Amino acid sequence: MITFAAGAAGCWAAAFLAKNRARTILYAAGIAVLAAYVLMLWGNLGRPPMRTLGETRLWYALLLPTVSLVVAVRWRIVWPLVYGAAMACVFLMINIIRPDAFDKTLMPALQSPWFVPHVVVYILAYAFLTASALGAVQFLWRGENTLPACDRAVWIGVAFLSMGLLFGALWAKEAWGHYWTWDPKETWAFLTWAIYLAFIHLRLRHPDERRFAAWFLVVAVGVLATCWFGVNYLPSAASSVHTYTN
Amino acid sequence: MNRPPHGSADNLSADPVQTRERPCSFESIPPTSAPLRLCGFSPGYGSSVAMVAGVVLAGFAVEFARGGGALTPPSWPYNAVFLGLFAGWIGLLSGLPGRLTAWLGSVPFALATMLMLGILGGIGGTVPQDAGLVPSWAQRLGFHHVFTGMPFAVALLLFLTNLGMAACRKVGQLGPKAWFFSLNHIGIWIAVASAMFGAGDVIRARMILVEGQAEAMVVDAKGRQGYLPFGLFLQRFYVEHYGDESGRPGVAKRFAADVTILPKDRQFADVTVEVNKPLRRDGWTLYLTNYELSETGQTDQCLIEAVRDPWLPGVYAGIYLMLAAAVAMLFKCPFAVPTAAGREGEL
Repeated sequence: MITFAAGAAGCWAAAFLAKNRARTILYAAGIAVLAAYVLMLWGNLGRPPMRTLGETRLWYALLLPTVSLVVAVRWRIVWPLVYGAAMACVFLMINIIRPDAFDKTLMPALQSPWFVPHVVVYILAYAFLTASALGAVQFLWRGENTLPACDRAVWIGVAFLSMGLLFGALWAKEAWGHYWTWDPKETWAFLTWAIYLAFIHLRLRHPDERRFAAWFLVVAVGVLATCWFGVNYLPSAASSVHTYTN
Repeated sequence: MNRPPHGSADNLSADPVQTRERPCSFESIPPTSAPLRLCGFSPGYGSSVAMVAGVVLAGFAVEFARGGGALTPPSWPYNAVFLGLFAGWIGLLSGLPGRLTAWLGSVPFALATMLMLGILGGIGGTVPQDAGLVPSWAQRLGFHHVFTGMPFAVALLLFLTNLGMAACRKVGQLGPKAWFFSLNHIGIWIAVASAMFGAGDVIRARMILVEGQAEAMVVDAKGRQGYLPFGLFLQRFYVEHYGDESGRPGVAKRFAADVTILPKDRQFADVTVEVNKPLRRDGWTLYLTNYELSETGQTDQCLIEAVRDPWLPGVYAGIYLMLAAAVAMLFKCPFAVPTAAGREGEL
């Protein structure tokens, strides 16, 4: 784990010393190193490594730089690369400091064809939406006009978020008997979805309210974080069927 | 689009980025340059928040007066009649001109209902949804069953009113060009309305199967008994475990029930029911949910949840519309491409 994380971080550090095409290739190499680790883990565990919070952090560390690279190449902007690499390193550090007790067990409810698409689109959504929050901070702090990029990141993020939510509903019907039961994780997923839908409506309606929009994104990412990790620490979590940490 | 310049600190007028160019034709929300004021001075927001908050507070008052009991949702055929009247009322209202109907279908009203659903959802997502874990004053307000209580129900009705009116008006204005807007908004409307109005017809009951015995009786959460239109004979129930290092059985890897379906007038059929692989038959779906280990570690009985939800096709129709919209979102975006935004260097 540490070897691969260091390898990826090394590639990214080298990428920022390089220029143009070499930078893109080095950055992609860092992503490839992490992807190799995730695939190895998948093989060793004999199940998709997507069950625990630590495993979702690993996917985030893989997918956020991937998304950043696509955005950076597509729109020829650099700052997403910096944020993508920095956030990935933070999440890898958390996993190194608090290693999961990686075990091979996968409870029967999670053994479903829905498992992989549900988690992957959610982590993709989280990658875009956290990127939008970082862009908003950039706007508030340094006054750079990152908001158009944030708008598009939210739009794509909400598309993936909707897919994750709906895949989850279809899966829940197969596994638990009902598509929606207001389990705490479901409730916070609904709140996350609602707050980003509200953001889209606000932005289209009031395009000139930039500071408000940026602050809105900062609050929204707090709701997202509650859905992702925070919900495990809430009083309501006692009865959740969505806690898969050990 | 002419906008009077206004002097807020965040008005980056020297900015080269053309955020106001909107290349897509399906844009659903006309932008306004009227400044947004949180205290409700911006047109439409104050009245919307007041209206929604007033209705939800009235919902809490009713909840309190009733002693915090959960609502019993109406069942067939009353729910279908209510839904028909509700949908007809929305259709009728949206056809009428005037400021009131425009207000009910407006973006400020939408944001006010979403804010209220968000607040109620925040309560329901934080307070345990279990009467035993909640203080009595919070129980009186129904905080332990937010999603089956009166305030949430009225907030949802306001939300559906707003969403339905917005969708009707948009389709009326644009016709087939409103397809993208329609997918999302009509999808949500159909799914939420089917789930809400169909709630009274959902049956979730349990049945215990014992190896070597037949059973057709189910019992719901309130202890009411009923019978499935077919019986189930449990031939064999088995559990596979993950082994741990010492060779002792670990957590369950898979559990399954081999059953024979005993219909009244047809051939018997042998099937296996397991988690994520429910059995569908005659409008019922049967889920293997759990089992109990006896003292000897033997398991010869299991728990089945029998679910009947006649409104499910409506919910699924809405879900598939929303999924189509989510895929379309990846290809169509109302926000302008960020050209020079935040560029620090060339790739």
